[in-house]
Amino acid sequence: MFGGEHKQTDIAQSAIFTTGSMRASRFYPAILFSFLIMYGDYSFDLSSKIRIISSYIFSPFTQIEYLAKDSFNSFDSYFSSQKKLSEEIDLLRNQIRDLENQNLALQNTKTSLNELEELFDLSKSFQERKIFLGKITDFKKFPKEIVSVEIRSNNITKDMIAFNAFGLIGVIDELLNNSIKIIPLHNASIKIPAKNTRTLENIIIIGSGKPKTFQIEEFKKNGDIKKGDEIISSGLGGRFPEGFLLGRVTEIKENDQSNFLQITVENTFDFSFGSTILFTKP
Amino acid sequence: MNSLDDKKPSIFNFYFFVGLTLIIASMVEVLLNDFLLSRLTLPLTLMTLIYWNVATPRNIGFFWTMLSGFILDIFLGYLLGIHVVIFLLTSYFSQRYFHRFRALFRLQQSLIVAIIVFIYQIYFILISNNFALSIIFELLILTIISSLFWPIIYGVLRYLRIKLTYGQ
Repeated sequence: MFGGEHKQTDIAQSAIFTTGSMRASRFYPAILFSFLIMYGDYSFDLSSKIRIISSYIFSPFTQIEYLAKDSFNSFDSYFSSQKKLSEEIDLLRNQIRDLENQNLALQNTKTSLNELEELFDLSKSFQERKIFLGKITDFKKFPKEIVSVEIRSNNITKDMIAFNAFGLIGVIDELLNNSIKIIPLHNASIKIPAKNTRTLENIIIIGSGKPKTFQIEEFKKNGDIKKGDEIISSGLGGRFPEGFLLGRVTEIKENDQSNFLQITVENTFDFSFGSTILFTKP
Repeated sequence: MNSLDDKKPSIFNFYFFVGLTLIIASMVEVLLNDFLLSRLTLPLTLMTLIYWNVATPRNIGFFWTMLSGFILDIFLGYLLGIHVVIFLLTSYFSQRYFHRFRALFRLQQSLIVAIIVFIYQIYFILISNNFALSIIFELLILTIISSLFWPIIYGVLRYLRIKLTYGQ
């Protein structure tokens, strides 16, 4: 405690009673000396010699400025070059995205062309029958599968059937002005006269309501059928053309309470595939 | 009993510390002169000198005052002794009136420092025969900036002085 008081008193004393070192007796000679130096410099150019010597002595320090400038420039150029690089990367990324989009568009065009090629190959089998093409505009999945097709011809009639690149896929459900609604062959309401290519036995297949799946109607238990048998349209009744593949037998079930076999026929046709639909009379 | 003298650094050390701050201030002033692109300079050495003359008038000697003046003369390209004369005069009057100066508020001190800087700059304008309207603008700007710098210089040097004198 006493030590602290002593310290404060000491500080106060030194602050109040202190006297400066620069008394007039020293100050006037110092001023005189300075004027003498000034006169010496004016007359004999002392300062330039001192400057030359000091510039040699202090040359490492004078380089600091240039070093700092160089460092700043290299720092700045590093970041500006990095900025340029990042801008270039962004530009290249955009170009890649554009090229990818072009590639996608070209792939779509190629698919469409392949599809059209398939359709035209298919149309060769129609010989002298008239064919019409339409563009798919909409596809509804549930509860009833329907494909809406835009057409530009008024000659399409309701008895025509629809093909895509896979083959026979559906029938016209509704004929509107400039558009047609198609239902798939696997629709439960459609019956197709068909035949087994192995046995040439005529059968009727009906849509199961599930995509790519049909059932053979009333096929007797003692009938000749195997898994893998190819089923094609028979053309009987004139509703569907003859000779178009409908599917293969994939499942044969026997029911003790029924005289008929439960046979499933499946194909790989995608009802909603592609963008173009071909219409023709059977 | 704890003696205050036990904690004080030797006068020799303090004397060199004052000199070091003056030399550093003059170096910074020379470097700032290159960057400022102005005919006048920001008188950091002068303000440091004023601080030491007011804070420890016993310890500030002729040697460091004159050396810092000569450094500025050499590196700023003036006739040898130009800065020395004004520094000696400033030191003399600062030591004469340091009691009054210490009693002032920091704002009043800044005003006094601004007046000293103003006179200092006019002294150099007269010496260099550099009379132009634009230099008046520089003079005013640098005077205002100097007065704003005073509390900073005062605070930093005071902190260093207390650290060196009384430690923690």
